[in-house]
Amino acid sequence: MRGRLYWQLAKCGWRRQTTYRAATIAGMFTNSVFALVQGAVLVATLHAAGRRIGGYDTRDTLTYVWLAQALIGPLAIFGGTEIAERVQTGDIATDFSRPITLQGWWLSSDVGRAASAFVFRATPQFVIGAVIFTLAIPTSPVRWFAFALSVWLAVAVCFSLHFIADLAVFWTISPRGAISSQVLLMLALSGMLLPLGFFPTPVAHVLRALPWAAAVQGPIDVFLGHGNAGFSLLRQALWAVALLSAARAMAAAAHRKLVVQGG
Amino acid sequence: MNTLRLWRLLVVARIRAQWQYRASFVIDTIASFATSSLDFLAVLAIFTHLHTLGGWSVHQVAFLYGAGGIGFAMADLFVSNLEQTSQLVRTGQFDVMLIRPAGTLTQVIAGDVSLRSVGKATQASLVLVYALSGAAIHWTVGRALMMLAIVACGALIFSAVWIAGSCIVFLTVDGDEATNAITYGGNFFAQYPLDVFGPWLRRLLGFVVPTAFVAYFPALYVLGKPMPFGLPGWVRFASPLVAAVALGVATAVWHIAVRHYRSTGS
Repeated sequence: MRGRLYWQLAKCGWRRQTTYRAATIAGMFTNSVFALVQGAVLVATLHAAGRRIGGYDTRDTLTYVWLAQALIGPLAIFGGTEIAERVQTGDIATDFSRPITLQGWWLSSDVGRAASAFVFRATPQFVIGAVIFTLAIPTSPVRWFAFALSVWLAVAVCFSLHFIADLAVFWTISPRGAISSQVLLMLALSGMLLPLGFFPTPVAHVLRALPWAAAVQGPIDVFLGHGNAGFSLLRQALWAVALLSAARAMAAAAHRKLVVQGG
Repeated sequence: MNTLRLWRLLVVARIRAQWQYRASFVIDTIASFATSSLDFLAVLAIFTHLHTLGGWSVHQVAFLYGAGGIGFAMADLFVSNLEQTSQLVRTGQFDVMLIRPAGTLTQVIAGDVSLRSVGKATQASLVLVYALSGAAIHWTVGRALMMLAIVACGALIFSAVWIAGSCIVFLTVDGDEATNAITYGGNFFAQYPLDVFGPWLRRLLGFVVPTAFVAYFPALYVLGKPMPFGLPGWVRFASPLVAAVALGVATAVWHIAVRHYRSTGS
């Protein structure tokens, strides 16, 4: 019974994402512009250095840039203020009284949204890049399967990070600080701004161990076949479990804090 | 002039309103400062692999980043409420603005101020200090004046870009994400020397969206670098003119868009 509810929620998430076609096209346009600018800067960097950087040649770098921009949609890198708004308006009280947990409710709908975004936004977005440039595309089905798994783990990680930042509104009142910091940390530390291999080696090691790397660098490593895919997936899975649990604990704490006024 | 006075009154009211939540304001500003600092680390990381990027040293690129960043933060501070335009149109609040005795652009812009941009402006200023400390600039009165012009023109050009870009929501109300391509995308583009980009990207994001005039061309003058792409020397001094034209074009586009605006009816 409950399984069906989750499925319905996921379907709603899918449908909602699919409805706004103009938004999808606008988003793809913006992501393409960023990919072009970032790609030009990084390729110029490789040329000036005159060698590979962190294992990346020109083709890997361009693949990285276009894939990272393509993942913005499914991972909702800039998204996730809806729950915070519901905390502010008090609608969250309704969410807490539903027959499934707050986290279960929002996660199911986010999974549906991500699936739709992957098909209708990320895929054409990456194809645009592949048409303009020569990109590294995996040929082995195993690699594609591992990549699909990796993207799902990344969705869980991103969802949890957003969820935690949103619920922080219970304590900070104003939503601005926590959410915008989360987005900027994500951009800077996940590899979205710069592949982690471009950072000095010790810094890169630290960044790879942080949860944000599990969101963007993780799936791209698997796609490009950099490093051990099994190890990368394991690290992502650990972060996904840890963050989902932390988010769950936070929702429970918020529930205890919540005071519903009125009759 | 009446518009300016009204704008000032509204902005002061917004500042006072945000100042009521002092802790939140302080946290936001510090967060904005800290996280935008991480952004610059990417530039420094790139320079661990090379000495010059497109012929520009790390201090020279930092100059572009810092000078452009201050202008962008100032535009963000004053006009970024334009990002709410699609929300205003969607909820019908924009229709209410149309019947008030004040310009729509003034009302949308004065709808809120993003005070935390002060954090971003501080970070950009520190990057600029770092740039000036290492760029070995031969200072003259002209160059010092140019520093002031860079900041003012940067703020005006980015404001113009924000105004013109926001008009997309009058065309398609869900299209607001496309605006980011030229606002945030323009800022990202302006952080790097024009020399690293291909001809089309250069034309579109450097000249049509005139971000090259934010920091790049004035920087050529301040840093004493030669003119690239066979351009005449006066282009380095064209930023104030470009800023004025850009603002004129942007407000004209806004007014044309509003004249053709039809309520979403929902």
